[in-house]
Amino acid sequence: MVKSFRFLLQFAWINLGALLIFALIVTVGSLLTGVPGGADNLFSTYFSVFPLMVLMILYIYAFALCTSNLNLALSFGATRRGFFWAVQGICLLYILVGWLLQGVLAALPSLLNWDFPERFPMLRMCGFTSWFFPLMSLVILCLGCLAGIIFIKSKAAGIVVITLSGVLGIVGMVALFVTSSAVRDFGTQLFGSLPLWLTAGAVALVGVSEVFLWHTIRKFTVK
Amino acid sequence: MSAEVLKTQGLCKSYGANQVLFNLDLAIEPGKIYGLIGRNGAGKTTLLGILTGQNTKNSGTVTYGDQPVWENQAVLDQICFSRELQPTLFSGPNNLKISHYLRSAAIYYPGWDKEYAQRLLEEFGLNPKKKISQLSKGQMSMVTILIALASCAPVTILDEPAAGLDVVMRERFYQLLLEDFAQTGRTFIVSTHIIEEAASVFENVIILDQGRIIENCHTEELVDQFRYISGREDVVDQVCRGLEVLSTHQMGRHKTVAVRGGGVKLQNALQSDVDVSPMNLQNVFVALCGHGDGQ
Repeated sequence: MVKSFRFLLQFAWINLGALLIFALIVTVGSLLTGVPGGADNLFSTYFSVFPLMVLMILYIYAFALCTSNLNLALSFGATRRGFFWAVQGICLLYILVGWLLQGVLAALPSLLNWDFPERFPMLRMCGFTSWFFPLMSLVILCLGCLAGIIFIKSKAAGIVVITLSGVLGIVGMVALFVTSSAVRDFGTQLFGSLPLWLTAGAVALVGVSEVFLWHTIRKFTVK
Repeated sequence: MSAEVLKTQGLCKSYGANQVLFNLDLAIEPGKIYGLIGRNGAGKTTLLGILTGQNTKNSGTVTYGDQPVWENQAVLDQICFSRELQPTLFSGPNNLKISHYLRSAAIYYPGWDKEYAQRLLEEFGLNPKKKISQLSKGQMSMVTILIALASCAPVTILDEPAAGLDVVMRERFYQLLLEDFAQTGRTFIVSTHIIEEAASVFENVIILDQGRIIENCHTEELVDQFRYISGREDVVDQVCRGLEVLSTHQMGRHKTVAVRGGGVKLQNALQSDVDVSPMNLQNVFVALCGHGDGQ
């Protein structure tokens, strides 16, 4: 597992570096273009939906994990079990770094006394204390892996899965964000048990995806 | 260096309804260079994939020193299967760089020789920053060879290492292989279609035909069992009685046959009014696996 983790880490550093640079560009761009004073521009848009951007980027990263990376690792003599657990480790790393980044961006408007910090509701909902951002990150990473696996088996089916998982990911995430933060702020009277069902659905999706992932890795033939 | 035997017993593999390998028994002895030859679709890459745990099997066992190969990191560390690189991977071009392959090899092969890899990189004139999809077929083969040699794995397997290489590079590859073998004595298995050039390098040869191992023995001993006998049709027919005739070629009344057999019968043939000439490994392969396709 350690070897496979080191193997995946060489690609993960590059990906995480790109994510960090993106966060820096959005932040510096916002600072330079007057977003703290209330300016409404491209940077303010990216800043306000940064959690969504992180999840989209993680989805793209996950796509390669169980296709070209799996193929290369097994061709060098990785064990399938070791690779599977290494993927879990890398996903954890992606989630932690993504969570940290969006947490930092969420804290900036208040820390730096920007005007109208309430303009960034999504960032505020996904702050450090919210458990649903890492959960949604895990769901998105699992969906990305699944889409990659299905895409190499059948391009048509892959495109369907990519589209569906994209829609499902965004809709599910927004729904979970809204309902969970509503529960946090107002109690359960607003959405009843919907947040619980959404959370259970997300956890179930992760479970099913992991089983499918393991089954695919175990049967995988190196090309 | 480990002196373990890589062994398969009763190995079967099929892709859906298409059976590719049939009940294979094979033992790869340490400290030899094996040549694995077979026609397209004979099952060579599938066999090598299963021997190294990169492909699944339907039944049978694969062991290295009595330890199972499948999901056994300690065993997989001892084996390097350097495959033909693919310019496209799954849905798009293979955008991985040579340096990615070298770094990955360094992670997985405990005996990876970084200096040797660097020397070969310079000798082959390869730029590590180049993407695999940007390499020529020959350059991809060079990367395959580089990884195999620098892995220093006790069992090193090369799949079509000479594909796309020019004749000078092919000669250099065989030279490097023999130099490495002389120094380390490790086991090599080389799968190739360029049989005659590589024949002198192979100590043993394994011939795979339609998913079955039809020969696995010392190369010279195998080749020595085969002869071409040519002459007048009736005389050739008479001489070949009792010998295993593998192929026949006739022009008018002149007949040439490829035969297998030796001893007294072949000695008798030498006394008759026919020409008896030796065969090389490529001729032997064609005679055994041609199934009349080349005639």
